[in-house]
Amino acid sequence: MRKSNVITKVRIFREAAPKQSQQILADALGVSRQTIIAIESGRYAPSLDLALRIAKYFKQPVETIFTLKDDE
Amino acid sequence: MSYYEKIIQGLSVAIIVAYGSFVFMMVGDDGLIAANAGYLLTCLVIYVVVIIIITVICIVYLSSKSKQQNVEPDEREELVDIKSERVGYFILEFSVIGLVLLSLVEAFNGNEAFGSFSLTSSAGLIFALISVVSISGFSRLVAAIIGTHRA
Repeated sequence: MRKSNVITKVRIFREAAPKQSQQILADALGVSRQTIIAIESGRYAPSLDLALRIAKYFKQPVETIFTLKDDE
Repeated sequence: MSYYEKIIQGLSVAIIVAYGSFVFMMVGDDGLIAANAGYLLTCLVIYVVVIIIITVICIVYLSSKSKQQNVEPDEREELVDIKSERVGYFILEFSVIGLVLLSLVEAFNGNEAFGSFSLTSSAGLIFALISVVSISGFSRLVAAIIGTHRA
């Protein structure tokens, strides 16, 4: 599967929160831990629905967490 | 490893065991066994039953052991599933085309071209079809296993 064109800061926000593991985040979002790993490593770009749920979880605007490579 | 990945691996084992049992029952030292209708039906029933039993055991065992709250595949796994299904479909399609070509070879060279594996016999035809179904099904599952690690 080709590398995603989306830059993600999910790991940064997750690690900034205290005691926030990939499993806790995965359970909160209703996805598998492997999906969180894939998103954090940039191998998988989440759907709009999941991206918005991640942004809501971290109480951040979605564009703070996800940006296109071209915008960097 | 997610619940989806474990189920996929369990199904792969189910297909290998079921197809292995089927080949063991159908193939003798000199090729395909000259089987009557009852024996062929028994082989088919055993093939299906082995798949169902192993699948049910896998689901029950994994459901009881799984720490994952949601056992439904998530969006990434659904995407992997769709892509692997496409792989399985293409392999099934090419295998059927292969069978058509083998039938043509047999039509041109006579019924003895493939010996006991002749597609004109019911045993040969059933063996070929079950092989095609098993190979495409297994390929689909392998594609899903690879896909979950790459995506």
